[in-house]
Amino acid sequence: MAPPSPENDDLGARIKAAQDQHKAKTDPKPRSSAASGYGLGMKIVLDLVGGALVGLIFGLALDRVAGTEPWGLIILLCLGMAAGFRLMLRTAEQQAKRNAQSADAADDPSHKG
Amino acid sequence: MLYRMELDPMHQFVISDWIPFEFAGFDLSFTNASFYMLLAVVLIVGFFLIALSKASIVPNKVQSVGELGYEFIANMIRDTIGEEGFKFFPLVFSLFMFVFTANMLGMIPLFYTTTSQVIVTASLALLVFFTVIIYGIMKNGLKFFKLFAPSGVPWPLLILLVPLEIISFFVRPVTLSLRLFGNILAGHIVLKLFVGFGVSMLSVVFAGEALNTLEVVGVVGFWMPIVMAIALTALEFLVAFLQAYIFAILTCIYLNDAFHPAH
Repeated sequence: MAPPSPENDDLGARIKAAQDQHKAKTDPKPRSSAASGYGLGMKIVLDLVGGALVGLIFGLALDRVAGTEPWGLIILLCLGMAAGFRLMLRTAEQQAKRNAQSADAADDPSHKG
Repeated sequence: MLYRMELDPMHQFVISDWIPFEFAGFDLSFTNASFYMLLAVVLIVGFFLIALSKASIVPNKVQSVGELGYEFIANMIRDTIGEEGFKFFPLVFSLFMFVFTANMLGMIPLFYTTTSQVIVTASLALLVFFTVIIYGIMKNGLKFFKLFAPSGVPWPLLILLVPLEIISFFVRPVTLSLRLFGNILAGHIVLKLFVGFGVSMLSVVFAGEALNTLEVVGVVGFWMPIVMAIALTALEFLVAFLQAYIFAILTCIYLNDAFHPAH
């Protein structure tokens, strides 16, 4: 298997086209499965916890280095939680967009169900 | 005496020193975790040495499995980063193979699961994290920091958003490591608990005492948690692969930021 290079670009383009075609057929399916719902929930929880955790660690570190106890912890913990919420909202937004797309696909008359 | 057998689902995660060794105040002992990490690496290297030893146009079975792995990661990189991302193919491929092999080794009874240690997954996640920062600055210079400034936002809002974006960036290695660690840890605890339930339900028989009604019910139904554990084992194999896949694809997505910081 040769690494992708300009010489076999034409072949590469054809392969890509074929793959895209294949993907269009296979991709929408796993999105709606229970496993991806579990993954989504996991992501949201981790983003929330991770944000608070990073804020906590950075706040404690800042307080220790700069001696600003307790302000570094208070401010950075709030910022961390806000960042976690932002990440969560972003994930939810992306998911809503994806749901809307798959709902459009379901309305497609060629697709019965 | 097996009666009222103690359930200790955390015992499987205990690290034991096999070859104690201390250097400059650091405990550098060769532990069971080190051994299974080493075993994973040896298995991966050995597998690919065999797979590529008689490389031919028409691959034999082992070679085609190796090529399958290559194609899998190659497609992942092509879809998320693009052709330029192949610079990091070795990194992503090594990470995927290591996590996958370590997870799978953990599924073998009595084997130690290295990915159930948060320090292992955190090291891998920090490797990705620093690769993104260092390569991003090397490639884009100061433009890399555009990553923290969402485009099309008025500057007063940026004062609030930039710290949030920076913290979000630091959240990545945390979530990357906790996801893998949490899934593997939880899966192994649940498996151990279910099998433990079955064993302790049955073990009252061997106590040589008269059974009360509840214990009779337990003895009759001891197979139920075992069946559940068998089903969960299948699920855990899926999780072992899925978590390696998620780790690899998130690595690709994060590396993508080093290539295209302005999003």
